[in-house]
Amino acid sequence: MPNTIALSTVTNVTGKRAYRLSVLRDRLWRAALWTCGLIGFLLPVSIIGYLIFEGIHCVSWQFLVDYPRGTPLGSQGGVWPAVEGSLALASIGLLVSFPLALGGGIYLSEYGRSQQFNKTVRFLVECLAAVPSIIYGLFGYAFLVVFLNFGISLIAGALVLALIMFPILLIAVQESLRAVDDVYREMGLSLGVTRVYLIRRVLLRKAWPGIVAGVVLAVGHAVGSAAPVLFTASIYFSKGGLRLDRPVMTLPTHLYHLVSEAISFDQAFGTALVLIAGLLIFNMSAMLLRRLGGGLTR
Amino acid sequence: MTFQLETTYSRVLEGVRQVPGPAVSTFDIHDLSVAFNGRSVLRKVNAIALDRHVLAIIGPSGSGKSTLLRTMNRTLELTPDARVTSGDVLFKGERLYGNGTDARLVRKRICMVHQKPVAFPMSIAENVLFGVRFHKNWNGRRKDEIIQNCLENAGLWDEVKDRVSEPASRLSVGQLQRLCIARALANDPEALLMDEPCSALDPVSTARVEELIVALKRQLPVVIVTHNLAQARRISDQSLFLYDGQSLEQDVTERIFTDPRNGRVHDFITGKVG
Repeated sequence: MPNTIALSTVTNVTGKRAYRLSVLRDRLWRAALWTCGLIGFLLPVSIIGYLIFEGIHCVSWQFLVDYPRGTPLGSQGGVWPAVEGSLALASIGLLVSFPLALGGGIYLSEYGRSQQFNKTVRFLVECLAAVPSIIYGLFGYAFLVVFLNFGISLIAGALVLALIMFPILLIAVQESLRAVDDVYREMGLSLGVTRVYLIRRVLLRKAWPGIVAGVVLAVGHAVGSAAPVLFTASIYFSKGGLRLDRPVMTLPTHLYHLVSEAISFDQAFGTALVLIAGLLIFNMSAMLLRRLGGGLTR
Repeated sequence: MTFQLETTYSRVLEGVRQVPGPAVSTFDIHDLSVAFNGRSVLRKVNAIALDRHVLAIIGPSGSGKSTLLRTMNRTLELTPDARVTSGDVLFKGERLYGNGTDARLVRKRICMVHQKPVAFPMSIAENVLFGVRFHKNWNGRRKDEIIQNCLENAGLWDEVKDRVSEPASRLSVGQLQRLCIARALANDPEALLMDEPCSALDPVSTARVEELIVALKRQLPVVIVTHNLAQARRISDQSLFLYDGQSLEQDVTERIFTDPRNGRVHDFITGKVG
């Protein structure tokens, strides 16, 4: 039995107490991290669950397709004009900002040779992304609505949202292109093709999942915020119908009016649920799009 | 320290006489110097590569082997700050660094296979056609013809013929390297440069790529950078020894390995220095 004796001696030297303590510490760590992970799971689930719980009885097909009714206005009826308005604002905003951000991101990642210039642009874009959305609203009001005389209109709001989405999209495009291994560039270009061809056929495909994630983030951010459209595009009531030079209702501002003027909390929860559900559906379809492109992006 | 090109010519050509077929020089590198951001990496390098022969570039790490290879199809300038400061590379008598030489056209004619094989995010077939679609050099060939032909020449056809429309990312590393070779061959290149093409591969894949190189040299000149001296000895006809940015010796491979003139080359080959 000499082996056993030696072994137990070693254990004694290390100290059982110290060993037990380190095991305990490990368990505590694990429990703490597990709890943090659980919070990350519970927080969104409980918020969405709460919205469903409070709002589901209000949401019906009628609620989706009707315009606000009742006295005070909004205490009955539905939210269709706001759904339509939010959709239009986000789509036009994305249509304007995405090509610009794509071009800017490609330039910074693939063409910009001057480090100094790249860093400056990147810093300014990051500043733009950090500007609070109410400032965008004020800028949109002063510049687009008043100075350019667009009036409170769909186009003014869409341009402000485009401005909000632009830095998020640009950073996403630049980062996801930068993340593509240089081997692809070297290998592609060594076949004698142009940079544009390489970007179009290889780099953008590789960067595609990251770009889609950026679009989801930007659209979610833009659609959900009331401040930028409050002074530039939104109107208290509309019966629906879209025109670029006319104001629209939006989901966040409708929600804001319903709550701030204590019109109807039921309707407010219903509106919030529609907004969240809309964003979730958008996220999921983006994820699908990502996977669809993803078959060939690996 | 560096040798004169004329001596190399005579020695190499003398050795070549034992190799069947006509020996025509394709690459003539004259006093080529390259600097990265002012730091000199290649100093007055002289070398030649013969048509339908394999030239191995050997030497310790950091001696400028890959840099030299990259000057040979003008991919060097893809690295910002890299400059050819003197000399030139002649390819079939044309100056690669002359005024008015189109770098992209050079890269189309002289293709490179890299150390780390990667699949472009598309099908196996589209990977092969990547350059062809750009250069539009169909030369009357059909799409499937090119795909089959290039994959056959790269020794990959039998393994992938039933799944050429699948994403290329599903291939193994060894297969990917052969796909990269097929992709380069689809450009109809006049020369093939290989930068340590086997260093990421397992021994079986390495053997396959080596067989391929020996087969390819029947059609075009191959220049290969390798760390593996045994490999250089197995597959190359001539070897160029680079040391600290200088070309110390070029000769018929067998002679470099058995009877090098330069002391440094001798030390490296016998393993006295790494």
